[in-house]
Amino acid sequence: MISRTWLAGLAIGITATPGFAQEFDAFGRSEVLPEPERDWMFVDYSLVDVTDDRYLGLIGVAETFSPAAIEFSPDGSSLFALETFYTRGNRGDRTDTVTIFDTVTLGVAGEVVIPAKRALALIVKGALALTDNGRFLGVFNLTPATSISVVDIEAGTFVGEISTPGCSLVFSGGDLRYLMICANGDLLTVTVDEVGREVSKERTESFFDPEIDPLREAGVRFGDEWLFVSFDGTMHSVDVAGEIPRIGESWSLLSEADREENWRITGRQPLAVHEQSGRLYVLARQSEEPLDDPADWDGTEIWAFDLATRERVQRLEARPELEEGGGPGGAIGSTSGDGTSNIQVTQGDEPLLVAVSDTGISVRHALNGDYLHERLENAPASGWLSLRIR
Amino acid sequence: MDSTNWMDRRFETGARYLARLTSRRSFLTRLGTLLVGAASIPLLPMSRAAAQAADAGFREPDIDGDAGDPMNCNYWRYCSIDGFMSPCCGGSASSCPPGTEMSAVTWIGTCQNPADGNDYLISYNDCCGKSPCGQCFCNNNEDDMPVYVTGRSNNINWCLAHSTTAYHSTVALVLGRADG
Repeated sequence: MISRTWLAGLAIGITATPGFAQEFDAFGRSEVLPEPERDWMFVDYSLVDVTDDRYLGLIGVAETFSPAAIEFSPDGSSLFALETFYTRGNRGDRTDTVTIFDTVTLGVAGEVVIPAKRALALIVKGALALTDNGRFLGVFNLTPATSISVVDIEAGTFVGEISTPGCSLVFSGGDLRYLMICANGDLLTVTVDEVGREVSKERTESFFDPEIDPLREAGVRFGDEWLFVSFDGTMHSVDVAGEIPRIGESWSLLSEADREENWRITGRQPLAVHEQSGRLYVLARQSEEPLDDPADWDGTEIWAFDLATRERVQRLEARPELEEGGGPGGAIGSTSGDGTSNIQVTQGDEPLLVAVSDTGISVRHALNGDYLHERLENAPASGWLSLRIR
Repeated sequence: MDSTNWMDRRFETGARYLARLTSRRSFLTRLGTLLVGAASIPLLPMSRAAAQAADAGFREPDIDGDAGDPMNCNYWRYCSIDGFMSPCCGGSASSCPPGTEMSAVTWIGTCQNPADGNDYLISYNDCCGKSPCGQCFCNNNEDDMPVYVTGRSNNINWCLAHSTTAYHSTVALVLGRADG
């Protein structure tokens, strides 16, 4: 009887290329990333090439008690994330760290233990902030007393804690300064010295009135300015270039006609800025009632504004008309599940507009709205979009 | 369920819930149409979302005095809740499930009891120390404020003041009359 093995060997012999010799793989090799490109974007902790629809790697953050809040060093070589550990999994002694990842190997390059007080809340923007000089990382603490922990990135050490009663979230306010938002609508400026220790705290009164129209937490940076949108669609700005942060004139994203049609600014990540063109992209949807929490409601359109003229220059459907949607509930960032929850735009001459929707993540040319990918196949279904390179 | 995913669950399940139902305010809209002569009717705008929810077969909870249904997301005390309802997890609207600790600090909302039309202060305390319950997620946001108005924000893990901050579920305690 002819064995099956013999027959198989005969078959291979017939089909194999003459002279072919299988090479053997070396054991233990891991990829390292090439020079970063502008169209690399983090979707939560996953790094994705949104042009090539290619998954590049994952930042191995151990715990996700809060959304994927990350900051980058000015040269882009390091990424800073916050982690919380318990000695017994979900109980035991708590340790909080600022963990430093190498953006080429995506491995851990170091860690700094900070007080176990960091805010465990559904916030991304405002959870941590690197001063503009790239040296001091501030971490927002909530116990529920509010403060910031300052870490010296250069020295790799925890410097100290700065008490900030009544004020929350932390944003960079210059080389040696942080901005925080206070419960009564004041803006708090926290200044540190050359080693990261507290120099002064000053309140700028009446930045806005939270009882009338609260600001959304998800601010975006445009040059020296921070831009925030209110529940009612009003843009507020803070310029951090000068000796004292300067509050700009507020303006509305919604025209009278928009208001008559019940348009509102929504989405979990509602704002994105293309620096070079000065275009601000925002998410909008219609709702007859004011929304109790606009972050929970997807946008159905993306609007672009020229920040110089404050005119709307572009109006796009928020997502492609795909029949087969991924549906809500994929991961962090999923909201009402009927539109787009997060937007981001890459920088440079040919910006790409990336949108997280119930149909997945889409990529299009920002300036004309043409789709490059109606749905990325090699990316997470959803998540917070962070730029690898500004 | 992995305890580290409590927030993912809040997002995920909440998203599904949002897709099916509408806000508490929409619920009040419908309720207002039932309460003939109620003074609040003129204040409650009709909404397209409410109509859509009605089309989808939305079931009104049975309101009988204070009772209602504490396992229903539209139970009056839950107007600003964001989490797993404790009664579905082995507790009650005012008590935590076995083996969990009630958070000492929390967020406060104001809800109207349809039984007497009065507004009450509601304390939404998280139940802490175990993995997320995973049952009966409910995300209503009436008068929810951003995180910087700390005491009125439901986007915070209020187990934060405990030795272990694992989030399990949430209760809704009636503290007193909002107007008195």
